[in-house]
Amino acid sequence: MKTRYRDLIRIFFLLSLLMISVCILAVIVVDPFFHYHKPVNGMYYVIDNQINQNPGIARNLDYDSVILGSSMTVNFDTDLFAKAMELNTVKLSYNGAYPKDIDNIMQIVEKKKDRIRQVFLGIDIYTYKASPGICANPIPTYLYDDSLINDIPYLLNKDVLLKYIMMPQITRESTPLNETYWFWRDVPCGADKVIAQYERPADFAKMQPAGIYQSNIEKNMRTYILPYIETMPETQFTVFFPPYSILYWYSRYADGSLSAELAGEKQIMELLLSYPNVRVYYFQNNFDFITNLDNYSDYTHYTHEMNDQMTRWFAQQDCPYEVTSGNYGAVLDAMERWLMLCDFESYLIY
Amino acid sequence: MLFNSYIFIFLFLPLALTGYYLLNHFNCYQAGKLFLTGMSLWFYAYFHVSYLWILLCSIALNYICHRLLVRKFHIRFTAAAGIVVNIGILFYFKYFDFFIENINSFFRAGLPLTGVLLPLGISFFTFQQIAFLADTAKGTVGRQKLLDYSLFVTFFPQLIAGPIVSHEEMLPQFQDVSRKRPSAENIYQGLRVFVIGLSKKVLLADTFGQAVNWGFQYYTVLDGLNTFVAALFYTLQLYFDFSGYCDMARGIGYLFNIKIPVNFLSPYKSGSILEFWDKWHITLTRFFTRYVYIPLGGNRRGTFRTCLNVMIVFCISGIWHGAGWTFFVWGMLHGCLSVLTRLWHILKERLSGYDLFRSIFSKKGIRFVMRRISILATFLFLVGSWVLFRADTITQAVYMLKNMLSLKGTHIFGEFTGFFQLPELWYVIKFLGMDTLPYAAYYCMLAFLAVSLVLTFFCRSLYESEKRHKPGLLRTCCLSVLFVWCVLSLSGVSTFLYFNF
Repeated sequence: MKTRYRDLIRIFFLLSLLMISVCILAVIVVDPFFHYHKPVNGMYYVIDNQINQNPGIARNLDYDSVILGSSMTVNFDTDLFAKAMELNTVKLSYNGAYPKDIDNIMQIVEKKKDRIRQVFLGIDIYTYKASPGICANPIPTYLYDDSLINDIPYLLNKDVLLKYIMMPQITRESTPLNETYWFWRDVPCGADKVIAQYERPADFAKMQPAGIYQSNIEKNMRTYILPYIETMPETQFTVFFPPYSILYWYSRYADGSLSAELAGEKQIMELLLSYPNVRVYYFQNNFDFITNLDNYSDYTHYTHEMNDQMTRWFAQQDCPYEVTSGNYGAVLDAMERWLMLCDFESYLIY
Repeated sequence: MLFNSYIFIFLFLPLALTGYYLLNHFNCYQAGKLFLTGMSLWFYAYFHVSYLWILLCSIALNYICHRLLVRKFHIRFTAAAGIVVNIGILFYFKYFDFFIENINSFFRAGLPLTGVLLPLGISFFTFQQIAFLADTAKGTVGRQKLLDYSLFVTFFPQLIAGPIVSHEEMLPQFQDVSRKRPSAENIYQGLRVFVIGLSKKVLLADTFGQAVNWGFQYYTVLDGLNTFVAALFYTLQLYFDFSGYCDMARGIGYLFNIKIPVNFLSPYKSGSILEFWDKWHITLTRFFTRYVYIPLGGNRRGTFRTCLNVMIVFCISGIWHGAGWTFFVWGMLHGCLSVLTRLWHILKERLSGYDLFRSIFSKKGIRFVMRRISILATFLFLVGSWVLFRADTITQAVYMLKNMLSLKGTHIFGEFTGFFQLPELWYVIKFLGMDTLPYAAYYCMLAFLAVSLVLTFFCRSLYESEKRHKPGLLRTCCLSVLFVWCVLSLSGVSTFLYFNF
C-alpha cells in the first residue's frame, strides 16, 4: 500500500510537471504579449490588451515612432502615419492614461531612443491635474521589467493560453498592427446619442482659482514627461490637446474648474515649448468641430475621422492648430473668453 | 503569503517540507520545530513585516502568563490580566477606529482616527491564545516549552484564517516522534485535500467573487431578482472561499503529518440555524461554547438565561467577524433566530406529548418534506443575512434586502453573465455548438451555478469522503489536471472595462 501511494505521488508530480512544462513552452514560443520576442510568422495574434501587451510591443517590435495617450489616441491609424510622414509607428495607448502610465511605457521606449524619430503624445488635462503616481489601472509589473524570475504569472496563465494563444489559432484571427485598440472605431456617433447620455449640470459651482492644479501639474510634468524630452533630444515630441466636445467644457464650467483647467493647459504648454524638440498642437479651439455633436460618440470621444485629420495636420508644416511660444497664451486666453461667453444650453437642443 | 499564490506553491511549501523532514531525518526534532516556526514567521511577515512584531509580542506576553499560571501565581488575576491584555490588543488593532468613528458620529467629537493596519489573523491567534490561557488556569495544560508554544500559535496552515485549534489537538502531535517521518499516505491525502481546497477557492469562489463585487458595487441599479442573484452568488462565494481555505489548511497539515481539525461540514445542508453553526466554522463555535457560553451558565439557568447567553455569544461573534454595525446586526440576527429555534425545540418537545402531533410528525414522508423545507428556509435566511455581512453599510444592506423582498425583476442582468464566461467554458460551449443558440451567454453562468449548488447540497463533504477515498491512477491523473488548472487560474489577464477610460 505504501508503495502504491509513493507511485501515485510520483505520477501526480510527473504529470503536473509535464503539463506545466508544456504550458510554459507554448507561452514562450508563441509569446502573445511579445514579452520575449517578435511575433512568430504563421501564428495568429490578437492585440486588445493595452496593459499587458503595450510593454511587449514597445520592447520587441520594430518601430521608429510611438503614439502615447488615452482613449483619445486609440483610433489613430498607424498606416496613415506611414503614408503621411513615412513613420513606422506603434500605438501604446492606455485608456484613461495618467502621466505615470506614460512614464511606465516610456521607460521601455527610452531604451530604443536612438531609433525613435517621433513621439506623439496626447495630453488630457484632467489626468495631469491629478495627484502624481496614479495609474489608470494596476499594471502587471512582471511584464514591464526585464526580470525573468517574476514572469510566472505570464507563463502559467490560463487566459494567456486559452484566449491569446489557442483561441486566435482556432478562429484564425489576427489584429492588424495599424488597427490595434480600435475598440470604438465603429461605435456610432450622433448628437442625439451624446445628448441622451450626457449628464446635464444641475448645479453651478463658483469658478475656482486658476492656479489650483499648478502644483500637481508641475510635479506630473517634471517627474513623468519632461525627463524623456530631455534625455531624447534627437526625438521629435509632438504633443497635442485633443478636441473634447463643447459638453465637456460645459461640465467644467458647471463644476467651476474651467479656468483652472485652461490655466493648467497653459502651464503645460509653457513647460513643453521651452524645448526645441517639442511641437504642440491645440485642437480644442476647433470650434466648428467641437460644437457639432454629430462628431462624437459621447461628450469627449470624437469620430476616428478626426484622428485621421489630426495625423494629416501633424504631417503639415503650417497647421492652423500648432501653437508656439509666441502665441500659446493668446490662444488659450481666446479659448477661455469664448467658453465664458458660450451659451452651452443651446447645444443641448436637438 | 496566500495559499493560492505561486510563491507559496512553488517555493515556500516545498522549502518548508524539505527543510522540516530533512532536519527530522537527522533526528534534529527541536531544530525541525524551530525551522517550522521560522518558516511560519516568514509566511506571516510576507504580508507586512510590521505585523511580525505584533505576533511576536503577543506570543511572548501569553507565554509569560502561561508560565505564571503554571506556577499558580495569583491564578485568577494572572488569567484575567492575560485575557484582558489579549482583548485590549485585539480592540486596539481591530476596533479602536470603529469606536472613534462612533464617538465622532454620536458626539461630533472630531477625534482623529489612528489609521492603524489590521494585522492579519489577529482575531484567530488572539482567541487561540485566550483559550490556551483559560485552560492553563483551569489546570488542563501543563508547562509547555516556548518553542512548542510558538509553533502551536504560528503553525502557518492555521495562522491567518483558522481553524482556531486547541492545545490538546495540536501540541501532542508536534511532540509525537512517530510523526516526524514523511508518510506517503498522508502526503497523498494532503495533496488531494489541498488541491480540492485550492480548486474551491480559485475556480469557484474567485469566479463568484467578481460577479459579487459588481453586484454589491452597483446594487442601486439592480432589481429584486438581480439583488437576490448577487446575494446568492455571495453565499456560494463565501462557502467555497472559507471551505476551500480550511481544506487547504488541512491538506498542508497532512503533508506535515499533522491533523488539523475540520472546520466545515456541508453547512448549507443544515435544517436549522443551530445545525448550521455546528457545521460552519466549527472551531469558532467550539471556542464560543467552551469559553463564553458555558462560563455564562450555558443552558443550566433556565430558558430566559439560556436565550440571553445565546444572544451574548452571537453579539460577540458578530463583532468578532468585523468592526462594523453590519456585523453586529448580522450577529444579532443569527442570535435571534437561534433563540427562536431553541424555543421551537422546547415547544416541539412539549407538543410531542400529544398523540396528534406525534402521529403527524412521525410519518416518514412528512419528516422528509419538513427536512427539505427546513434546509431551504435556513439557506434562504443565510442568503439574506450574508447581505449584511458583505454590505458596506446598514443602509446598503437594508436597501438590498428590501429590494430582494420586492420580488421584482424578469431576467438576470447580462453583466452577471460576463464574469462566468471563462475561456475554458468557451471551448466546451463552442465544441458543443451551443455558442449560436439564443441566451448562449447565460449557459456558462447557469452551468457554474448548477455545479456549485450540486457540490453544496448533494455531495459529501471532503472530510466525509476522505474515509471512503480509494486512491487510483485515474483519480490521481484527475487530481493532477485539477492542480494544473488551478495553477493556471491563479493569475488572469486583467481586461479593460469601458467605464475606466
